[in-house]
Amino acid sequence: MTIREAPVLLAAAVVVIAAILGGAFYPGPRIVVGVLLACSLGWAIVGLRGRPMAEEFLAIGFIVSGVVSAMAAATVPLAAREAITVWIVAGSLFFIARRIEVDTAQVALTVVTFGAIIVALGVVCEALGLGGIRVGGLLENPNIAASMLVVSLPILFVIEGGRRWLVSAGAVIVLGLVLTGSRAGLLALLVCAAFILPRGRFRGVALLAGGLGVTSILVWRFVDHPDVLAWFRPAIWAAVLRLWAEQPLLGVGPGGLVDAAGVERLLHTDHVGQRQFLISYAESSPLALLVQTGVVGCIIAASVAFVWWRGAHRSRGLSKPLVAALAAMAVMAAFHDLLTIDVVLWWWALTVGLFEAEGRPPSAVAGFATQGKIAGTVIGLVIAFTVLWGVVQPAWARWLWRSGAPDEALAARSARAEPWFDAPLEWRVRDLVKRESWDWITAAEAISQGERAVGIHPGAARLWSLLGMVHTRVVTDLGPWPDSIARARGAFARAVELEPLQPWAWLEWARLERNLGHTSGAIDLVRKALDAEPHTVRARLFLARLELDRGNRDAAREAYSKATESARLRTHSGLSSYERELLGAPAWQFREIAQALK
Amino acid sequence: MLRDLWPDRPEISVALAVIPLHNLVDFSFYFSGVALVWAVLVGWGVSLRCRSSAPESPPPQGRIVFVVAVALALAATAFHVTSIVVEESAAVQKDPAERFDGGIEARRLAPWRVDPLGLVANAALESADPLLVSAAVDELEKGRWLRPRSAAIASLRAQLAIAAGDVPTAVAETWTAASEQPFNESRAKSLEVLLNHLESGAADDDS
Repeated sequence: MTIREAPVLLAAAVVVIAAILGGAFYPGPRIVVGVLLACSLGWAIVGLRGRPMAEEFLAIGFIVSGVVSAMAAATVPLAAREAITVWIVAGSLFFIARRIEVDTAQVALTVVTFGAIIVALGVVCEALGLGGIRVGGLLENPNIAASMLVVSLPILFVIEGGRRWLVSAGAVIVLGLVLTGSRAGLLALLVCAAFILPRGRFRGVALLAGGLGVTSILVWRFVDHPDVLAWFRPAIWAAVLRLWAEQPLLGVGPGGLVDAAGVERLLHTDHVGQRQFLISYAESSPLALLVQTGVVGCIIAASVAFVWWRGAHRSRGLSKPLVAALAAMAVMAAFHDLLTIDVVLWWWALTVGLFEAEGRPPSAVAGFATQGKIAGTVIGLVIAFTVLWGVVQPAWARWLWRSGAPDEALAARSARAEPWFDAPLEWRVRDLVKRESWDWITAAEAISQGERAVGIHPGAARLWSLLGMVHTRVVTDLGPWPDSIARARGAFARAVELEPLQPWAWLEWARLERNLGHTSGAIDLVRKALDAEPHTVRARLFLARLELDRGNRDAAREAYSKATESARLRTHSGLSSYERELLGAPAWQFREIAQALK
Repeated sequence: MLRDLWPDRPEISVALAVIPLHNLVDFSFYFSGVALVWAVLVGWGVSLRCRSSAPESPPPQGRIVFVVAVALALAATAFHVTSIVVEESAAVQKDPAERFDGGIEARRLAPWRVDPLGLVANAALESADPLLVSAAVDELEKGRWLRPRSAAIASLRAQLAIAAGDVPTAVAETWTAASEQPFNESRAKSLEVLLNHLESGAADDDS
């Protein structure tokens, strides 16, 4: 091991630190991890020797296709930037890890193993503390913990060390994996064991016993811990495929699934809130890749895998532990969308790179030089800048935004720190909309900030709806300016195009039309809100008000009766905040309609 | 260099010589169109001369990337400079419609330039033609991503909005201009004047 390979070890340590810090999802840890990754990756790439290999050129092509896809979609620039940076970091970790010497790879794999043991111990401690399984430990999410643990098991068959220590480490990792209760994790464990255990009676017995154990845990999970996601997974996959069919070539863009999925909210007729669940993840990494980067991205990604696989076979063949780790990854990825879970992607990329380095004959791949060339220095600086821009800067803005109670100054500082961050702008506009009376200066700021918010996040239905509300407020408080009327209608139209199955934008649009004297149009819009969510009490009451405006007292009475019927559901236990929002309405609205109906 | 090139490539030698000769009696190097072409010819000549004197060696890595990058940079520079020339010549036209067209042409040549937006907006405002005002608004919105926090663009947008009768947009853009340049008194003054005008208009309506 030499000083030239120090940055690779540093990068490996940073990935392990990220896992121990709970995935570094929160802004504070993310800033630290991002800065350390920028420094270590930049430094390592400056010292890279030799030309990139074919699969590495293809991987760069995949990143470029991701950028093109994000630009074509243009719905959520910040999420796209963060997602692509995560892929760049994962690719860079793989590039540098596969080039280190065997003894350095041994050290790095040992570091990763220690990281896995700490993650597993976190799961064990939480399970003991809570007195049950299905916990995520330090990583909070059991599936993320399982994704990292199951891939770490094959490392134990590669690293040097005493038999007792290796068996103990394996036992802790397996225990942690079982306690996560992850179905995919347990299946991956079985597949991993099938690949890695030596042929013979022992393997048969181990697989049989493991199969029985996994089956019993799976039965327990489905019967005792059933979750909506498990049963809805095929429906989610179908919905994701429908989304992909709308943008087959380039997809909805990296990080753009949440914004695009509004039109595909799945129906839950047995819930009070029938469209409350948004598809945030594709629940399968290959599907996530397809829907986010389209056929182009998928073909390039498959080419990367194929060229790498063929090259590895031709030069040296793949070691059993590496094949086992890849099989475990395939199983986990088949049932979980890990495409934007940075810590898992980094862990996997690092592990595969280190496996390759560990099993590589000397001088098969060019390694590191003490002095970098100009091109290497430029690329290293570009990578470091990209990591700072894509990981640290958004985290810095979020950290600022969460550093105290929101106020105008904090909102301005956070928006300056990351111009693509919409939360401070949204807060400010909502704060202005809450004011009882509006003058022109309030309207000016609200319009300006609202327009900027939709400019930096054009795929967010809630921001378009908010902008529509701002212009509606101008119409109500400052006069029916044609400009504001047109802009309000345009904003609401965009909001319902993005989220047709949510009632709120329809309802606010209906309020605008009523203010403009278009009662019939308003009724049509309220009916669309109720089609989306029949238990929206405010929409029912507003429908009653509109029917009264039209002089249709019977229809108003029916709408009022349905509103009271729905409002009674508030006494049900276990309502989500979304459902409470649907069932909520101010008492004065009931009183007013009731008096009018007398 | 001319002597070395003459036996094999006389046409390049002549091309290289004729432009400096012409500059003995004129100053055509002042024009980027001439200077850039001559610079390309000199580079070509140097390359040919080196090739004829030195033995062939394998091209260094990255040469294609370098050549493509330089070619792109040259093309961008040529478009940029031409756009400036078009904008400057349009700015002296008397007819606002011609100034507008010139500004649009300058933007088409170099879409990354924001300066022509000022020409386009001011020409539309001066013409008071609703079609030109509407087209100027579209052009401004198209180019706004280049300077998303520009107070000058916000101010222009506000003036166009006033011309189009879009008062809420005008107030919002004037507020944006004032908030982006809080120490610029003229921006604050514009906002104050507009707000006073609207408040007094509202008071008149009430009375």
